[in-house]
Amino acid sequence: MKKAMVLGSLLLAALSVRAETVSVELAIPQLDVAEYHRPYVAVWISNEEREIVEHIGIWVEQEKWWRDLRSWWRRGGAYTELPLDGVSGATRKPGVYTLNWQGDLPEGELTLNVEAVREVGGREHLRLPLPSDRNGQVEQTGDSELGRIAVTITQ
Amino acid sequence: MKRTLIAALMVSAFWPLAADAHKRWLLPTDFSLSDAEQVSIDLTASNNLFYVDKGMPPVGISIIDPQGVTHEPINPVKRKRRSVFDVDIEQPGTYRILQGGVPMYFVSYKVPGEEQPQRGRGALEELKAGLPDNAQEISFAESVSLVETYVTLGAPSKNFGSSKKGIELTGGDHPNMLYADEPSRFEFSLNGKPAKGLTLEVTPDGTRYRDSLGTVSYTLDAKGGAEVEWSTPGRYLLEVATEQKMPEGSEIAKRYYSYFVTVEVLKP
Repeated sequence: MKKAMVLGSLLLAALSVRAETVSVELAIPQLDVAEYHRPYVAVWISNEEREIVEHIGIWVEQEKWWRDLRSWWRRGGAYTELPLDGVSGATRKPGVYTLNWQGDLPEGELTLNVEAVREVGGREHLRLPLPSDRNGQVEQTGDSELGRIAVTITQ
Repeated sequence: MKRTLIAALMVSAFWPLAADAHKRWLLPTDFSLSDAEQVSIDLTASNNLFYVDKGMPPVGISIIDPQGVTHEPINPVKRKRRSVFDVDIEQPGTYRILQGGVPMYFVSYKVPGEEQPQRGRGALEELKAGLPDNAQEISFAESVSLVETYVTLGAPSKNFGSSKKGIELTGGDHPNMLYADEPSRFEFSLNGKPAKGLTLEVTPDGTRYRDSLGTVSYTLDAKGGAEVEWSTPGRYLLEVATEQKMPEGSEIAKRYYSYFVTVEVLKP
């Protein structure tokens, strides 16, 4: 009897969960500048209220400058304890990177945010609305601090 | 106690009444921090925002940390065009940095044989005690003026004023969580009650580089609040002021109230 109940609840849990897979291809451009520092980068998914619902990637160094990722910082970065397992890490050199995330996303319209800020450089924040049916790919290319961003979501 | 009084006197000696047209402001080097740090704060009166012009005596300043503990300013300096002091921002949460907020009193009276009215300022009891026996047409006035700003380390916390004296910011959106593309609500109280009907004036930084001040005025609603629309990211000065003529026969003939807060609005 007890076993059946456990099994039943597991089944229910499995039914109510819609696991999504999010894959983000992110390009950090090579820049021809006199003084180059690797950008601090935050990648997150936000809801309609612009609140952070999931972190996909955080690449940072000194704590003092975390707040310069100013959208991320004020939208929820300030409430986040770093390091985040499998999400946060050191800054990266120019190149193309893939970030993978799997889990359950909340209902509603969601947006993938990519924000990059560079010491003695600029800042760029790209917002990619995710497909409502949670299936498909969207992409955008940054003008300055970010290259091509392509996000694929499947469920 | 004596020190506080002298401090208050010095402040009021510089900025007596609402008739003074200068804007007064506190401007921190940072409004939002991710690591504990010392922040420098300018304290100045000026017509242009935010260009230092007249350094005010760095007295009557309180720094209220997220736990509600009051700290003294560090290294306060008064210079000709600006005054400045430092604040240790060490605890997670929101610090409130303020000058004033304490009621100050003024008296004017005439004595026989003197053309000009005599004036004095200080604590009410002292002013009364100092009146000559032959004083005539005695008139007292009260002024409560508060200048403040907010600085947050990490996640913001609630740290609004609650003295119930004069005009205070008491609610609405957090002053360190403002975005240029979202209207922000601010709620004010006057002597502890909603500051209904008063005017909130909002002026963006950089007045020197445009033809008009760019001030937008809002009338405070029944809750003493207004939804402010930001024209651009940047720093803004918010002002609320009023004066009340008291009924004939009141000991205090007039009351002046003013409030200034500096905030930073982020690009979305």
